[in-house]
Amino acid sequence: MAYPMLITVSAGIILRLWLHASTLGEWLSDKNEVSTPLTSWKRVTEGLALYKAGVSPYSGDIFHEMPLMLRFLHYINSLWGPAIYIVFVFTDFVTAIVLERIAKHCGRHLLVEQKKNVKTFSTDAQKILVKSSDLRYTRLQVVAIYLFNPYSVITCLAKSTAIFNNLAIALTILYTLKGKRSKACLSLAVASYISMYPIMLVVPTAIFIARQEVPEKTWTSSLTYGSIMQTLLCSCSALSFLLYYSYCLEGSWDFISSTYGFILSVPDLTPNIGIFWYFFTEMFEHFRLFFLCVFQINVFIYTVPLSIKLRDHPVFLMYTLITIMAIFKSYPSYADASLYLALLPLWTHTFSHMRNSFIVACMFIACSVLAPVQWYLWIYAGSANANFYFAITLVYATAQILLLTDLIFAFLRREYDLVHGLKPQVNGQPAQVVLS
Amino acid sequence: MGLLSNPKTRQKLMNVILRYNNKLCFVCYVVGLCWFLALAYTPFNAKTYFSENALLPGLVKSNAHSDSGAGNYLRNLKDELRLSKETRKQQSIPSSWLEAQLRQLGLDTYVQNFTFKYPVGILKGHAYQGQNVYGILRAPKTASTEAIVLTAPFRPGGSPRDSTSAGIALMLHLAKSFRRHTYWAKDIIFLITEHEEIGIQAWLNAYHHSHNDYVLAGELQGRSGSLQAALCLEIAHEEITRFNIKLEGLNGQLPNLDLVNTAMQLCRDQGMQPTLQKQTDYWDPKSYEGFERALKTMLLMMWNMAHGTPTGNHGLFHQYNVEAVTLQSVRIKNSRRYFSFSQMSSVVEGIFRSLNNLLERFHQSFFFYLLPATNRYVSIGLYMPPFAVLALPVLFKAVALWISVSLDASSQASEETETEGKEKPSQAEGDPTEQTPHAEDAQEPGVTLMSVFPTCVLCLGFGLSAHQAPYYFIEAARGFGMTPSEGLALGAVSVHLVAMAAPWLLQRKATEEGDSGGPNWQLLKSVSLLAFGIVLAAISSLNIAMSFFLAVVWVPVILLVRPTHSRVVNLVQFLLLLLVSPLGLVYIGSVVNEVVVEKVTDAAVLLPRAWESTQAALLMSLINNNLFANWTFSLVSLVIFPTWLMFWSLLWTKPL
Repeated sequence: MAYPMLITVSAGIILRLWLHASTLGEWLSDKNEVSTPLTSWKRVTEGLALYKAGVSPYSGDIFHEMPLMLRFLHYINSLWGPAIYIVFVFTDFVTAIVLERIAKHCGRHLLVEQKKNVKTFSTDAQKILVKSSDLRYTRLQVVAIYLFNPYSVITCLAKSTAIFNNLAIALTILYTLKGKRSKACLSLAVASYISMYPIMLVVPTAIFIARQEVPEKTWTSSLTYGSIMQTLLCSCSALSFLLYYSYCLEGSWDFISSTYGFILSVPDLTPNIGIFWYFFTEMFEHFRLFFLCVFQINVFIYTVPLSIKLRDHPVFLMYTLITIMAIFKSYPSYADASLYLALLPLWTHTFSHMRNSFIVACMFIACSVLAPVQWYLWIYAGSANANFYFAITLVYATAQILLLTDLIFAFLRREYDLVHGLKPQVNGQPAQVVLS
Repeated sequence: MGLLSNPKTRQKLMNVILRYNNKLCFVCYVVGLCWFLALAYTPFNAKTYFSENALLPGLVKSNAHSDSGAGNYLRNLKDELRLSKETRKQQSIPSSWLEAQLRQLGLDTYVQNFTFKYPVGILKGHAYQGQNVYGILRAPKTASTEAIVLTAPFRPGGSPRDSTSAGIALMLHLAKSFRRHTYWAKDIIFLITEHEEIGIQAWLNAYHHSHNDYVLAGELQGRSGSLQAALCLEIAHEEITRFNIKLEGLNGQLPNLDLVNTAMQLCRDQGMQPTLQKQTDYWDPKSYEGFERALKTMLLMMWNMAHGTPTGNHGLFHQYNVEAVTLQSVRIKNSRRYFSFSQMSSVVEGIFRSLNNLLERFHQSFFFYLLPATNRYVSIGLYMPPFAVLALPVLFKAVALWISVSLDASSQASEETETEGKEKPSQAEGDPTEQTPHAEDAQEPGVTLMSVFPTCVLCLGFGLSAHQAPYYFIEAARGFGMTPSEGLALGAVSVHLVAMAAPWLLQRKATEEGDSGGPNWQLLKSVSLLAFGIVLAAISSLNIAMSFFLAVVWVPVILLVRPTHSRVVNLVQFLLLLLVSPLGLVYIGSVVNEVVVEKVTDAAVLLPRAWESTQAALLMSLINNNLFANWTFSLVSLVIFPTWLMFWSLLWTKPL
């Protein structure tokens, strides 16, 4: 097990270093699918220049990183200079290692949960039980997918700062799985500090830790609420501390409007692979606020029903929320997709219930190829128009949604089959389970 | 939730695809092809119209009709050329004379110097010189924020193409005439270029500050605003029969249809019947002969688009988002009527007056269209459905193969579990609907999907080497005393041979080692078809003609190929695949070109000549790739060649 992992990781690193030597990164960093206004390295350099010149980078409209992030980037930039790509490659490496740990702990967690519930399962559900032998390759798959997925490779090449965000999210998952509240809350706070949306991950984290801490019989007791409140409080105070510290460093709250304000009010409508830009360029100005609320609530609203439905499976809930974030956030990029795609093998045991994997895979590949083509036709050749590109982003969003709904369906269907058996019967007759 | 989630309809759909996919493929292909070709027939396409109201073509009276002006310029130019011929061996652009003429008219006149060399060591990287002369007529009304370009290439005597002296003379005359008027709202740039497309490329590069490794453009001393449109004149004679309008640009890009319509309309206003592809419109378009003529015009246009090389200097403007067409003179002996400089200048002036009226860039009307006649067009909305139907078999077959692989895998898996005596899942008996999720799951094919992976990587690797190799071929050819084109052609053949031998060698090695594995052919074919489908989709939006021809030729062949034990069938498949290989297609293209354009009929002459033009085509595609960013070479070597190789390696897999 160790050797394939070693080879995979080193191959992934060498691939990145090798590609960094070419001019590919330069070219990619201008691609709107890869770097958004929030994560573009070009904007970071602009911000750093302003910072060095003693001007607040937040007084302009270019820079949207958080103050601590600014100082961190300034530090590594002054330390590494032109070799800064090594930091990005290293971050990707760390993320890959964290993902490997996640795969390990998640597999262990799945087995433990299964052992706990095995009494409630149907007798003929043996076929779909998770076996430790099935989990053997999951770790390698996760790492391989993360390191060789073109999405994450180009993200690293473009020096998108989204990879720090990905690392923070990955750490949140890892510490949650380990049941370490303070560390989980801290990394959650860092993730939400960087890009705001991960704040919704506090729900699965709280649920998971509560389920770990509180004995099963007393789940409805105040102990549970206490644990949940503790997690909430812990992450909120960590986040507040980070924000307050930023305020102390900056000396004003101006940075909020060009970071969180920028994320929430979506003033930059440069086309990206998300769903916001086209809709908001088409809209009359006086509806803007209303639809902004609708679109932003849309990102968060799924937390409620999913948390209720998946309360027994907080890890899966966390995964679905990460995917939802990647689909519906205001400035998505391939970096967001790379994270949840890498973690997809965690749910290998549900794949046999998935129905659209072929279509989804085709849609993903087709989008990745067609998006730059349509972009060229629209922006450079001037012969196509925004609708061409928008059509592709729509297909991309559809592919992601299809993948997510399919995965949720497969997960729930497997849960159903575990309890009711593979051969559902009604009055002794074979029956068919239909989702309606 | 509809088609995708309802297991019953889904199962039905899958059954239909699985059972009837061969028939469906055949029907789709035939219907798609016929439908596409039928678009040339008048009732199936639409009449052109002006979408941009600001153009107002032909609304103003012409001011420029004076025969003597252009005629005098032509005589002077010819004198000048004769003089320079006596003094210099190699004839180049009479830049000082042109500069003097333009300056005399009171235009801001500049000369741009440029050098260029051929890529990959062709002609030992020798650098050539060239000059462009241009004069800017500053608009009296505005502050040089927008400009339109009137350009003519300079061709020295002895050039294989028609002279353009008359065009240059007409341009000078028009400059003189335009100068007198105050109504110009956009700057007009009069540009005379040398070395055909290279000169234009150099000028455009310098104008837009873009860099090219092989065309080193000198700095422009003066410039105007953003270019709105350009008109290119290739006029050979003082008296012409008609204008032929050329519009196909680099990589199959087309100018806005409104500009084409304007040019057509202004020709008609002068009583001149314009042509496309030198084909006149048939008098009765609804007759069979009319359809034939329209089809020929449309296919010729697509042919010119497909190879991605511009048909004239206008083609290079498109890459900078500048709409441009070329007016090419056609002179037929014993024509009923000839048109003099007077009418020609009215046409050009009319076009410029229309362009002058533009309030914003060309953005209305169509950028994606095909023209079967000068007044009919097929828009993207009309040609995409038949093209989609034509390409649909690829998807059908891929899905059908995928389903059958999954079914095989799941039935195999259930057999295995049965023999092992474990509890067997219900899916094999029981209800058929329950099979669906398992049938199409990614798990079982997912495992074998990895077996296809090495083949894909190998094919891509060969594509990459085919893209990088020409440099070495040409170097090696020089060592053997061959010309670059011969070296390149032999190199292409050898790349094909090596790449073709690779799957065979791999298969032999595998059988020697007793490894019966290797990729599942159905899966490999499914993946290859999907790859091809995506390639087709991507190319179709860039260059519909290229993807149409590719689909027409490839779809039947690639649907048919499969590994068999029968030697005869195998041989036929090899031949078919060889025929549609990239090199084979270039050769077939050359043969067609020789037959259709050069009218060679004798096979003994035809085949060697076609081989020669294949060599030339390869070399030109390589040169164009580097000098003008023509993508055809990269596209073929990096995308189409690997895809073809995947089908080729399919023949070497184990038949069932």
